Amino acid sequence: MEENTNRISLDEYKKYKKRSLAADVWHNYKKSPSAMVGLILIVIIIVLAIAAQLIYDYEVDIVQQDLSQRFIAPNTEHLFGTDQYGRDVLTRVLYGAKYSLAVGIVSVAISCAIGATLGLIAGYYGGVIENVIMRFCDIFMGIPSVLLGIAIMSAFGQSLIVLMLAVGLVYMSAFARTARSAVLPVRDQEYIEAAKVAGVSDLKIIFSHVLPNSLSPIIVQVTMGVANGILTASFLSFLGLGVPVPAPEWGAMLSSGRQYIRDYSYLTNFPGLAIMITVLAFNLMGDGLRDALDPKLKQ
Amino acid sequence: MYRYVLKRILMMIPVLLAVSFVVYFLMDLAPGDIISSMAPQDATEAEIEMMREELGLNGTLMERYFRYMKGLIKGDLGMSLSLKRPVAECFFQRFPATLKLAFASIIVTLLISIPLGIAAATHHRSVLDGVSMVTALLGVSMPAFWLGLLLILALSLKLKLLPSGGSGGIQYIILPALTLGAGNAGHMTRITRSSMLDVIRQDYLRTARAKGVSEKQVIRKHALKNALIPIINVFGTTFGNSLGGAVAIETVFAWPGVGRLTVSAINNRDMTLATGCIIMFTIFMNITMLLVDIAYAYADPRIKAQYSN
Repeated sequence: MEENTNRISLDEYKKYKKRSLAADVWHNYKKSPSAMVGLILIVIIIVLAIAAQLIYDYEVDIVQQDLSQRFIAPNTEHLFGTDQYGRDVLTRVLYGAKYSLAVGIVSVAISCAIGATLGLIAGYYGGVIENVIMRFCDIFMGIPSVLLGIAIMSAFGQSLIVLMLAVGLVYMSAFARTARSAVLPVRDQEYIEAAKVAGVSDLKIIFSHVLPNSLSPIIVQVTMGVANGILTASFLSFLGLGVPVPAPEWGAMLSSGRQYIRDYSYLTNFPGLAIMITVLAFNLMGDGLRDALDPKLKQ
Repeated sequence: MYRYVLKRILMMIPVLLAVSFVVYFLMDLAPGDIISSMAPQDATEAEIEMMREELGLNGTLMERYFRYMKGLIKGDLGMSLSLKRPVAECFFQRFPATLKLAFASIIVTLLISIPLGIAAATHHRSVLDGVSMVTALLGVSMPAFWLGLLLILALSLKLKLLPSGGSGGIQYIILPALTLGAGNAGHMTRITRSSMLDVIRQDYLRTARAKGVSEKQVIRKHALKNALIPIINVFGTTFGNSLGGAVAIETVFAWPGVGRLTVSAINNRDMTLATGCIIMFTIFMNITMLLVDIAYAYADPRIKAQYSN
């Protein structure tokens, strides 16, 4: 039999295919200035968050009080001023980036891992399984997100880990719905049927044939999910149910600066601005990714 | 049509039961035993057991849950320890305020988002479009509680135009409704714009223009009516979101609704009150959303046609 010299190994093929999809998306993505702004902002925030961890000492720079330095308005020495305990607000805002980023990213990882898997299974099998899974998700959709967050936080106590879990569970159902509706058009494609006939296991079909072809909406949901997760987490901290004080979580900083708002509004404005810029960056990236992944949708 | 209504109601019942179980279960896990904080120091084992029984706190989780749900149907959610009043009474006293805030915020949302979305779509790719989309994006990204604080600072503390919190006349609802409404408007503006853009490209608009209908008429009569369909479509969800958002924003403005009651119950470790509030609010929110959906189904000939044989 004649050897086909043009054949490439399966591994090589996969590598090529993956690179081309990513390259394709990147090609579209970088065309949008607002999407690039989002990406650059995210990179800057991550770099600043890491740098703050390396430069500042938690005990000395973040929580140690110096009452002789209270309420210094923003100046060249303290760019964001100092708070009611004499701590530098800029230092705390920079250090606090890690909480929001960590909660945003880990909680989305949780909700995506559980939610998207449930959605994929529901969409692929249909019928009773789909009904059971989607009604299960309706339960979590039925509770207002803030109240569900409050219930979970009071059940397991305040900590960073619980906050991640709470926000993750709050948004799990949204992922399940997105994944399910992304699977529906793929489910009846001929290549899925071909894989079934060829005897490929359901698990392998779901993860190597269905998932890659319904990935776009899930990726968009992930970026938007980080944005929503950061907002929800900072709100729970604002209510005093998130990351416990004296950690410089942005929502908690806003909450503690709130009683001084009349005279020292910078205490609430800088953390508020930090939350907004971070959330904005992820929203811009989500918009950009949506357009890049599906140019047809772009208007 | 009755089939549709019946189907929706039957579908909602198990969800509500499950929702209430999830909330009951979570709040049951919360640390802090009420009995040990209520009972006198020298109470004996037997006395504590008796108290437990009196308060309906004995038995396994499932037993307690079923007892709780039996009570709920009769309108008995137990006593609030911090307010010394029945939980159901506390809830129903506060619920109208939350409902009022949600309604007011929806009006704000619609007043901002529909004109802005239409203007953005009809002036596609213009400066106006850019500005309104940036505004919408900022609205989506801004934490509502910070927006609330900024509005308090500007309109209440600096300009002294409106009260910063509490309740009373109409001036008290303006700030919270504005905060909540503006936050939701970001999302709604984007929906309006994209739906309007879809409609503008339709052939029947070209036909209308070709017939010589004025541009104003085309937008108002032909485009707007069709563009609003997806917005009305999500109205049930929007209302649910507003109710959920109202619960969240109440604490910022000391608005006397269910949200603030729940948060203060949690802070006082009054779990009976918190559980009751969350379960009742969730049930009422779902019923309200269902009513909106049913009203919509009656108005929409397409859904009506589906169910009338």
